[in-house]
Amino acid sequence: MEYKDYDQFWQKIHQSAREKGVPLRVMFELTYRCNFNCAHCYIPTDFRTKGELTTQEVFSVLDQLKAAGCFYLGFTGGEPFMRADFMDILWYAKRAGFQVIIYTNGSLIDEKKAAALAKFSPNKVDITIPALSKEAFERITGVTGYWDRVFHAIDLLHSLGVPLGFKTCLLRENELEIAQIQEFAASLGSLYRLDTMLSPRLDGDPEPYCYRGTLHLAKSHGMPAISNRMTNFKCQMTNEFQMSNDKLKDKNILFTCGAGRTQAAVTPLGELKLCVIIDRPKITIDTGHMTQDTRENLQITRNTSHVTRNKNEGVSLSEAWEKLKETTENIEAGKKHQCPECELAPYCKWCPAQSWLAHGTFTGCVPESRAWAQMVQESLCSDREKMLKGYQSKAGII
Amino acid sequence: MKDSTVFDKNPDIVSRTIEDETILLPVYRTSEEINCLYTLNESAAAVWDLIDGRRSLGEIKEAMLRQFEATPEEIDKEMGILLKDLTEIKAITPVKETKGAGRAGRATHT
Repeated sequence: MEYKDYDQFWQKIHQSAREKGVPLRVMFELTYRCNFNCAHCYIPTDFRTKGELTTQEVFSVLDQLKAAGCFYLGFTGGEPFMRADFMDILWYAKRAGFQVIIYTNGSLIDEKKAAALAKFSPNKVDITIPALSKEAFERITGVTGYWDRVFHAIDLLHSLGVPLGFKTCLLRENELEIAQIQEFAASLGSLYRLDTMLSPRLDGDPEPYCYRGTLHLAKSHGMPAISNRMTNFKCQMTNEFQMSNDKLKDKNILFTCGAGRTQAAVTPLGELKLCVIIDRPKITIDTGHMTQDTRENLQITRNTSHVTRNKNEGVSLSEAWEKLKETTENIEAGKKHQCPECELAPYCKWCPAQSWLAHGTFTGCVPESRAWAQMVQESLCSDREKMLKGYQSKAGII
Repeated sequence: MKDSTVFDKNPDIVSRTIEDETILLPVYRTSEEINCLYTLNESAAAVWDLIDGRRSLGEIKEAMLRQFEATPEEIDKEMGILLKDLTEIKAITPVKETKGAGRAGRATHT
């Protein structure tokens, strides 16, 4: 038996996964159901009635993910706590040796669940905070009566020492509160990330774009960290994009994020796909543990949705992953792909998924991404000018 | 350790084999709390798999002799070191003694 440094060991495993194409990280959408009705959500409302895997089927997928080499699992939804068996699923995953992150709106975490999560010791419970003020919170989520529950859940989890992370989608409704949300996260010693890019819905509906906030407005209303953050972001993104651009010159590499190479997603119906945003191709995973009754019930449920699945349809997760990898490898960036030559690339959050939802192709420029990149570029130039003037003033140049 | 000893795994420690490396992971700790990992090589992982609360050490040694090209002395020595390490980190505990299991009764001094 050897003792190895955790970080070094994982660097080696990540490198190896990249070389061999192992699905090291997987997002598992356990349900499309949600108790919130956020207008900017990328999941169409009618997906909520699509049905979902049974507990045993989820276990089967987890077994197969383990066999395929997956190590990091993100459980998401919809809202995963809508499933009564969610804690059972979490424990099954933990006992199988997965490192688990839970993505939740936090509203269904009561004292009992918080205590259970503390015992469970996830790597992180990642809670979406739409807003700090009750009014904005309820306008964004489209529901009432949950604002105090979410912050009560955060208090509970924090007091129990559960590792927390927070996320906010930048929206018109919350853009004046971003700085405060950031401060709130910092006060708990938690990681925070601002998601500045909304996606069209999985059915292509661009409505979520209507709710997007603006960087300028958020900044002008007291978002002190954004300048430094964006500067760091810029440096980081420049480096990343330099790498990305180098890679993109190789026409075969489009998914620099790792989708279809070391990352994938599983839908509530047990389909493997590239990421949560890209809804095609989806390859049905055979979850062998189904009884005949379960299969027939599922068939009835699924016949009402876009997805039809025959009793014997589906392949093993490993086969599905190989097909997905092959698909990814065969997608070429091609001549229409403008990113490698685009001056906005270092500031842009474009990804093939955004293009897919906007155009039905993986390579098109997305106007929303472009507009955002221009905004970031202008913001950074403005910051840089101010910094330069500050230095010049101190140095007595002006 | 006697060949008649039966060990069982601590249910709060799980193993994962990733990229030909078998690692032991404590269930009740987050990745942030884990600074170093216990990794098992191929033969150590085979022993780990064989420990089930039912097989005696003698039976495990016999299985190892069938699976690996090694002398009984080499298996004895390697297993002795491994079992000591696993016991120290509380990954396994002796749960009972059996009679006449495998090379039963032949004590090994490791």
